[in-house]
Amino acid sequence: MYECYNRKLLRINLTDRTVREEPISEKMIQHWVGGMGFGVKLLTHEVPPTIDAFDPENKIFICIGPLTGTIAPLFAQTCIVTKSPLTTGIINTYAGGQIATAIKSTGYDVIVFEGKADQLIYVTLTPAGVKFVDCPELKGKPVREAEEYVKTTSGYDNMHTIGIGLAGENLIRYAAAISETRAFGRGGAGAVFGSKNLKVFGVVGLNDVKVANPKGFEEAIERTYTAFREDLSHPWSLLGGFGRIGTGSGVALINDKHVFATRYHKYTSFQHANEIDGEAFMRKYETRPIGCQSCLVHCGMVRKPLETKWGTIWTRGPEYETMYSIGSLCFNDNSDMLYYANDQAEKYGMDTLSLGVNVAFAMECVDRGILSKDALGEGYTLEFGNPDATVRLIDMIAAREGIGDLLAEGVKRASEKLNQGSQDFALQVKGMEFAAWMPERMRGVATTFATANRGACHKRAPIGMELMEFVPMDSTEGRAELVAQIQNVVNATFTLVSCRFAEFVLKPAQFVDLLNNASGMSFTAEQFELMGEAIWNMERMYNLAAGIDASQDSLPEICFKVPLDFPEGYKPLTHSDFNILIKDYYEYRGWDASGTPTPERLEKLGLKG
Amino acid sequence: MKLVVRFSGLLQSLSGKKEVELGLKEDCSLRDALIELKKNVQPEFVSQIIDPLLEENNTGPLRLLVKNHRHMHSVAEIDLPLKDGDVLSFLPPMEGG
Repeated sequence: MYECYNRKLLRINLTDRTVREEPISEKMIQHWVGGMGFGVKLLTHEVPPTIDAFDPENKIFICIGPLTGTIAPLFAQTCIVTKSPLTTGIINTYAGGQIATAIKSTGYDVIVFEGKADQLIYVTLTPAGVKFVDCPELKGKPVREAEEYVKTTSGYDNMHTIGIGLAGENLIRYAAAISETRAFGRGGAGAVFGSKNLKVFGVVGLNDVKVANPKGFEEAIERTYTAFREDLSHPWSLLGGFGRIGTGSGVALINDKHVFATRYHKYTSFQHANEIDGEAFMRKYETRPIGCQSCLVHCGMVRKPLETKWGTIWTRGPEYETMYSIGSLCFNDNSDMLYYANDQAEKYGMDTLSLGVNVAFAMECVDRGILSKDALGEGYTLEFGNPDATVRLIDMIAAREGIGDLLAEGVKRASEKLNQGSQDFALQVKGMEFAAWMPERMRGVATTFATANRGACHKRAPIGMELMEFVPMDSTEGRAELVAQIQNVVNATFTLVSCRFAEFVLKPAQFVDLLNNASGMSFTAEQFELMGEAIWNMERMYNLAAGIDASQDSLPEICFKVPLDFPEGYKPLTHSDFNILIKDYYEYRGWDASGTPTPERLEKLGLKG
Repeated sequence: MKLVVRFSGLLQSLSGKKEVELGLKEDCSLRDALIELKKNVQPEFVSQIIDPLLEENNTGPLRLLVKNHRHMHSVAEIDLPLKDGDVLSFLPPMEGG
C-alpha cells in the first residue's frame, strides 16, 4: 500500500538553516491524496490566515503527487501552495517541466520552506543533503542565469531548479517562481520566495518510483494512452493543436467567437489577432515543441533566439494567455514585442497575465486622464498599441521605478491609491488580475472569476462548454452548478498534480484508475470529486478567516458595460444575471447567504471540528 | 449568392487554403455548400472533415465549424438554407485552463 509515495515531508527552515524530516501519515494520504490536497491541508493548519504574506511565518509548500515520476502521461506538474501577497488568501500555483520528477527522486513528497534567511541564499537538496549557500552575487540576476549558476557551482549537471528574478526580490506582488522556463505564475509565489531571501532551490535525487500494483498500473497506463491516442487521432483534437502550434492555436477561435478581450475590454475581438496568435508565431519564428516528463502532447514551443530592437530573445512561448494580456488587451499587434515581453517576464520572474493587465490598466488610466502619457519618462508615450512603452513599463515594474512601483502592487492596490473611479475598471477579483476570457460574454466565466478562491482565475471554468456552445454562453441556467462541479473535479485532479490539460480528455474515473493502481487505495470517482469539493471548502474557510468575505465574490463595474463590437444575438452580462449566478452558486455549494459553508455541508465533507 | 469560407490553424494546412469564396445558388443549404467546397480543398480535408460532416449523426467535426461566429451542435443544421453574406469558418477547438 502507498508504494508510489515517499511518505516523507522535509521542512527547511531558512531562519536557523536547519532541516527536519517528518512522516506523512496514512490518514493524510487517504484524505488528501497529495499535491494541492497536501498543500492546502498543511497551510490552512500551519499559517495563520491574518498574517501578511511577507511575514516569515508564511510558508511555501512545494508538493508533488502519487503519480509524479511514473510513466503516467501529463502528471509532471509541481504544485506550490502559499499565502498570496496578491490576494492575501491561499494560493495554489503550478508549473510543469522536470522539477516534479526530481523532487520525487529525493525521497520526499512535500518540501516546506519556513522562516526567512538573513541574506540572499540558494538551497540545494542532493544525495549529499541540504546545503544553504549565501549568494549576494546572484542579486538581481535573471532567473535563467541564477539557475545555471547554481547547477554549475553545485557540480550537478542533472540538477533541476526553481528560482526567482528581480521581480521576486523586489516583492512584485505577482512575481512568479520559475522552473527552467516554466512559471508558477499566478498569485505571487515568487514574491514569497523573495520575502524569504530564497533565490534558487536546486534538487537532485536518486530514488526510483514504485507502484502498488505493477500489472494493474501497466493496464491503467494502456487505457490512459488509448484515451489520449484516440483524442489525438482526430483533426479536431485540442491537444493535437497544442502539440503542433502551442496553446496559441486557439486564439483564432477565441477571436472569431468574440471573447478575445481587446483594448481593455472595449472590444471583444482584435482585428490584428492573426499577427500575434499561435500560427503567427509558427510562421514567423523557427520553433521546436518540447514536453514535460512523460508527456505526449509537447505544448511548449521553444523558439530560435532572435535579435530585436530591444535585445536578444531566447524563450519558450508565449502562451495564449500572454497573447491576450500583453497582446490584445494592450492593443499590441507587434509579435516581436510580445515575444520580447514574454522573455522579460521570464527573466524577471513575473506572471504574464497579471503583468499584462497592469500594463493595460496604466494605458487605460492615460485614456481616462488619470495618469499622464509621459509617465514613462522622456522618449516614451504611454498609450495603447505602443510596443516601446510596453517594454519600458515592464522594466520599470520589475525595478519598482517611477510608476512601476505603483503597478508592482497589482491593479487592486494601484486603483485604491489612484481612486478617480479607477476601481470600477481595475480588472481584478480578490486582488488577482483577470485571466483571458470575458465575463461580459460568458456566464460561467463570470461565475468562476467571482467565486474562485484564487481570484479572477480561469483554471476551473467551463470555458470549452461555453466557447464551443455546448451550453449557451449567455444563460444563467444551470451555470453555477456547472462551475462548482468543474471546480471540484479540477481540484481533485490537482491532488495528483496533473497537467490541467489531462482533464480535457480523462474522466474522473480514469484518474482514479491510475491512482488506485499506483497507490493500492480504492477511491471511487465520487469520493475523488468529493475530496475536490472538500479542498475547495477548506480554502474558502481559510480565505474567510483572512478577511476575504462574500463582498469580494464580485466583478468590477467594467464587466457590466457593453463592449463596442458586442456580437448580435447574445445578451451582455447584467447585475441581475450576476446576482442569480452568485445566489445559485452559494445554494449549490451548500453555503449560506453570506457565502459561508454551512455546518451541515462541512460535516458532509469531513471538515467539521 | 456568395459564401466566404475561412480556415485557420491546422485546418488551414489540411485544406491548403486560407479562404475560399463559393458562388452558390440562392437558398442552397450548408450541405450543398460543403459539397461544392470539396472541389476547392485538398483531398485530406475532404476525407477527414467534409465527408464525416456529411455523414448522419457525426458530431465530431461539427465542433470545428462556426457559422457567423456561432457553433452548431446539431447535424440537422447542415440542411438549413444559407443566407447571402453568411461567413463559415473552420477553426481549431479551444479550452481554458
